[in-house]
Amino acid sequence: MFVEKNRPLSLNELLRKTSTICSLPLFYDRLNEAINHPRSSLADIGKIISEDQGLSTRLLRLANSPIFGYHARIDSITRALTLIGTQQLRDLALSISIMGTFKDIPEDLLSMQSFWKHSIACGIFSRNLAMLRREVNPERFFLAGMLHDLGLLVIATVMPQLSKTLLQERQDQQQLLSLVEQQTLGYDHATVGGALLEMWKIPLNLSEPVACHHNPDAALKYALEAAIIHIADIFCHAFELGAAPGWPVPILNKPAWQRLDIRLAQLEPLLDQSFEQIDETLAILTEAP
Amino acid sequence: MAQLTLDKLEPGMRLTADVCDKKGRLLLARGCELESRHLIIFRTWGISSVEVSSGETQMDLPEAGDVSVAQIVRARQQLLPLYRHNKLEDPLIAALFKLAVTRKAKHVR
Repeated sequence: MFVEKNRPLSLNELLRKTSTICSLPLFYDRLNEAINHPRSSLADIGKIISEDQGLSTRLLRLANSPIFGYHARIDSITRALTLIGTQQLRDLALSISIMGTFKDIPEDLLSMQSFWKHSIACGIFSRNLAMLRREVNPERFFLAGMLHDLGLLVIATVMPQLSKTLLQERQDQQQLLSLVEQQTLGYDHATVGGALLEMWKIPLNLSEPVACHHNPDAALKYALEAAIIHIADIFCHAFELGAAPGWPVPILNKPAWQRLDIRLAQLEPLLDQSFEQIDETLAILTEAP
Repeated sequence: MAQLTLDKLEPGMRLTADVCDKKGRLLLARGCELESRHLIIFRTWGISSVEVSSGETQMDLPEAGDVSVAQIVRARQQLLPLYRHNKLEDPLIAALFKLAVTRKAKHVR
């Protein structure tokens, strides 16, 4: 413990250690391969998803929830693939299955209940902001929002003692966690999350917004995506939906908000709609199927 | 300034933002005083809510009359520390804070 406290791991060491503890859900590679293969059919893709019973049940419940607003009942994965789309369903599947990857974090360090509520809230806000702007494939925004604080879980899993100190320091100084991390580690959870996704070969349109969600100016290729996640994260904290109770609202990056080109009058309907969806999605994703 | 749903609108209120239909066509410009025929037009074109000035200058009073001032004050006190790293003068932060207070006031006792 003492050694760990004195010498925090560098980003590379941290990532190397993470890869021995947890990995990208196995089906994701197979699913991606099937989706990108020119000769695979919807049935092939459906089969890969259906192999995971829990996953497909949750996917179907999500597809039938009012978030998607389909009138007819979606009763099979193949039908969900047709209606929602293959890439969209892949992104939803990854969001769901990543929740199961990190589950050995002690409850007193980070409450998983509030952490996932924060992640889902950020995903829903991002998705609704993207839909308001009529962006294509809103599910990738949901995924990016879901994963934006992945680095927190990595730090808590690999360096639990240090993570505890960081959280305590944040509380004592009433400071933003990313700043405390910067001071002690030289990097923050956003960087860690982005680097892990990159290591998992998740496309840059997800890893960059995750890496830059506290500093959207740094996003070079996916600036809009980064801005959406940044604003969605601020919405979460503004309504006490932070990863843990009492976490303050991160510093607003004004150019990011201007980039979204959304009027303040559109805010309330968007938020009201999101609040309902957050509770609903949380129930679907966390309750036993 | 408040975003009100159609059923809460009354003739005599003043628009603080343009009202456009789904395709962005202007129906009524900001600054207009609402008349009863406007309300029918809004309904016809599927407008669900519009922005009007509420006449009150006090920014923290929520539109709904079902919360007491004490509840609002308490919600404000509890939420204020969360916003300490941001400037409350910023329009977005101010809007979020106001909405958060209104929402919380309905839940705190």
